[in-house]
Amino acid sequence: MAAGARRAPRTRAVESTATWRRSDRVALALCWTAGIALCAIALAIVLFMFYKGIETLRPALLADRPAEDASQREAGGFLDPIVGTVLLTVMGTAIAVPLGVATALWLVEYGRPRALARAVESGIEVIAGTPSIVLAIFGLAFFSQQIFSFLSFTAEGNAVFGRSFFIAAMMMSFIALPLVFGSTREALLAVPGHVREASYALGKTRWATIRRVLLPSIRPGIATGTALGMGRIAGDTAVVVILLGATLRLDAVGEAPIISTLKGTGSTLTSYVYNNSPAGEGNAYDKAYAAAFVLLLVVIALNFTVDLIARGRKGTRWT
Amino acid sequence: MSDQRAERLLGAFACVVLLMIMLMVVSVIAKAWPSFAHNGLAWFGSGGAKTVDAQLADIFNSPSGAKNYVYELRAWPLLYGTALITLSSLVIGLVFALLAAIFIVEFAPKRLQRILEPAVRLLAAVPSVIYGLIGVLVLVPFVGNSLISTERKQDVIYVVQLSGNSVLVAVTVLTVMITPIMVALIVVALRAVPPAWTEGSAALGVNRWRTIWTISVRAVRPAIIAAAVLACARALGEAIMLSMVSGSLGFSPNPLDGLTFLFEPARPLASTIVEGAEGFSVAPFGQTMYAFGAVLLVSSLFLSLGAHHAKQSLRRYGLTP
Amino acid sequence: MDLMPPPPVRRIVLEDPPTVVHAPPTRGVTGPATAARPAARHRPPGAAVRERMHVERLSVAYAGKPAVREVSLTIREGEVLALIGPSGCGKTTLLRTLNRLTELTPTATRTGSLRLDDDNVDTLDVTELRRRVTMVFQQPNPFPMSIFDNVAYALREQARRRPKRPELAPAVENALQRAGLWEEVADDLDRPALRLSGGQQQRLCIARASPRNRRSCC
Repeated sequence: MAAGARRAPRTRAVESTATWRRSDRVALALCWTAGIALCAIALAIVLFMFYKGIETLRPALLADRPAEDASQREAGGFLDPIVGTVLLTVMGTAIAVPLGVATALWLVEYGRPRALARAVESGIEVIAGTPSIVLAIFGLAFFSQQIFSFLSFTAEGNAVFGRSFFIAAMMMSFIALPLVFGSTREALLAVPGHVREASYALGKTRWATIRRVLLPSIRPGIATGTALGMGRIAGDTAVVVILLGATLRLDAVGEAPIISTLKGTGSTLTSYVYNNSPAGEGNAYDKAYAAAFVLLLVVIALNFTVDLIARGRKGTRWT
Repeated sequence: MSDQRAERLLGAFACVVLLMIMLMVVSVIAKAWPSFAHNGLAWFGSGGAKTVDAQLADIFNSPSGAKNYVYELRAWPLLYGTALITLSSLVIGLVFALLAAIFIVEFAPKRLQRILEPAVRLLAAVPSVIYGLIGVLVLVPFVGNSLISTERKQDVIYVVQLSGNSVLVAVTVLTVMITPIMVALIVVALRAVPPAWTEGSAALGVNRWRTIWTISVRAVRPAIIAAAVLACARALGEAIMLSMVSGSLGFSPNPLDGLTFLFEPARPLASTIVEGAEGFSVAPFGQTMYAFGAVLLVSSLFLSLGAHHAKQSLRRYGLTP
Repeated sequence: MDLMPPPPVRRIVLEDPPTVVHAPPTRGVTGPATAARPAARHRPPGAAVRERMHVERLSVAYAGKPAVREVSLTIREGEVLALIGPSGCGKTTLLRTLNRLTELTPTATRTGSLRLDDDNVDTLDVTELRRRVTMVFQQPNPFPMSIFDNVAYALREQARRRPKRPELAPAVENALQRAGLWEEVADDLDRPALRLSGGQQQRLCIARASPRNRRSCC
């Protein structure tokens, strides 16, 4: 679309800067500096993390569970945090995707009454702008009520702990929700009107159109939003620190097979890194680097998936 | 399923989302209320007999029983630290992002463009704890040992301890964190400027820089504002990275200190909440933390509102937001 | 506004040598104010006119597909030259090549020679060339600014030192008058240009392209 505004540099045809004012030339130099600096910073961060990660990562770290002590220096790996990250990401996404897709579908396809539609849109913008720490403390306030005691551990004296995988996953879904909602809505708006009209003209109800025509065609959009959301969940630390109970190992509550783990506390890669840095008590910097390296790989992989989907998307042409 | 039932079902999902959001706003403010009520407007001020850190410790150590709860707090150093770090990173980051975006769209050779765009996306996706780790294990020792001379540390030793945890490192890392978001948004907006305008300007004999500055950048001002607001919200809410590098001392860095100002520690609101994670079970402490959360929430609400209004006012000249 | 008598029409058909058709002298159409005008502006037929641009064997292709093939043309001072042809035959491309606007498209290639006042167009600085050879587009494209800012745009951006508004006002008024838009917008020059009607916008673009005396204009 912007083919006219960009110019391929060719030897004689490039506009020389000889006639430019001095301020223009200074500005050009600054632009170049900014671009090169951005490149350099990205390269430095990636190279440094890879270097440190390869230096410190051993397969044993991935397979061992963290040591029981507060100090992580001596022994132990980070198997539990890896499990924690996977659990939270999967659960958070599983809640966010149906909610986000349904809300986007309702907004674009139905959207009445108008006031409600505007409120929902503003509401999602509010969530998108809210810091994750605020979402975390809200989760704590909300799920510490007695009605939600089944979701986590209840201490003696009837104080609901209010922190568990269930609860953390629910608040993580809020973090992913605006991304899923946004991508789905964009994809829905990109479907031209005549596609829907053709379906209605054949006698299909709106719901059938959604199910049979729209949903299959916006799959790449939903997938993009999902991958973006997963990336954000995997990388978030604040919610984990507040809502996952700060136990290094998975600490189940009760006896039921899977539910007990989900009702219990644990850690994720992000909180493990935080804990082992000078800001926490683990005091094992090399393990922090190793865990951070694994985390970075996970996030890069998720982002790469988003890119792949975006490239494959060019297949659907509507006209 | 009939259309009506489908509409109601989908609408129910949307309403659940809306309900949760309203609940969140209400409950955070409700939980925060006692802290504000006990301090009144002085909550936002400074003063009091002790430093803000000591005040927080007192609140944490309040004896049990609702009558004995301690609530006294003068949060100004925290608010000031938050505003200082956030606004500095925002301003520096916005300039940096604008120049980089112009570079990507207009001046970068094709090969550099192909490297830069994935690089920006990568930087935007890196989790904040990794930025914090690099900050605290690389930048902080560097600043603490190489940039702050021992004389400087001796000078201020009775007022505050200068380790590398400082405003300088905090602003640097935060700028790097929020710039990629802004670059991505501004690049998309610059590419969407109608070519008719840029070609029209080139056809009049205006050079490339002036064309892109006076036409394209002017045209995407709503996007720049949106990018700035998004970045500001992210910077305000950044808890983890800042708690690792900013020093966690409720100290108000004083610009009049000259160069030492950059090396002084600070304590932003969001990191205070994270550091207080253990203490939520103590009622007055938890309520004070909610008070901080309420301030953050209201600020981000105002930011969204402000951005919306700014975009509306720029519609006048035919710039779509 | 003074009315000039219509210039002679030079028809260039591709396979034949060019012919010249003179317009009949206007009778009694002009009002009393113009009747006594000197004839200095009307050139007698056949007098030597300066040739300003020479196009020789110009070919332009977009990504290998030819758009203009071996066109040779001379453009004279003071004449109004119309290119007429079926849709898609390369008229716009030819015009855009005259001030090297095709270089904004990465896939465009050009061969052949193009000279303005005996200078090869490639040796001139491109922004300088475009100031001497300006273009108004088929679709009006006013910038998202006020009317005054639109017309003053080129003056502001090309000057060494940014001119102030009182300095620009006479040039802006002159340009708007020559484009035939002054009476309609004089009351409020700070209105957004995008609010004008289509015809007004195109006249604004013409005014924008000519706040100073320009050599050729298309």
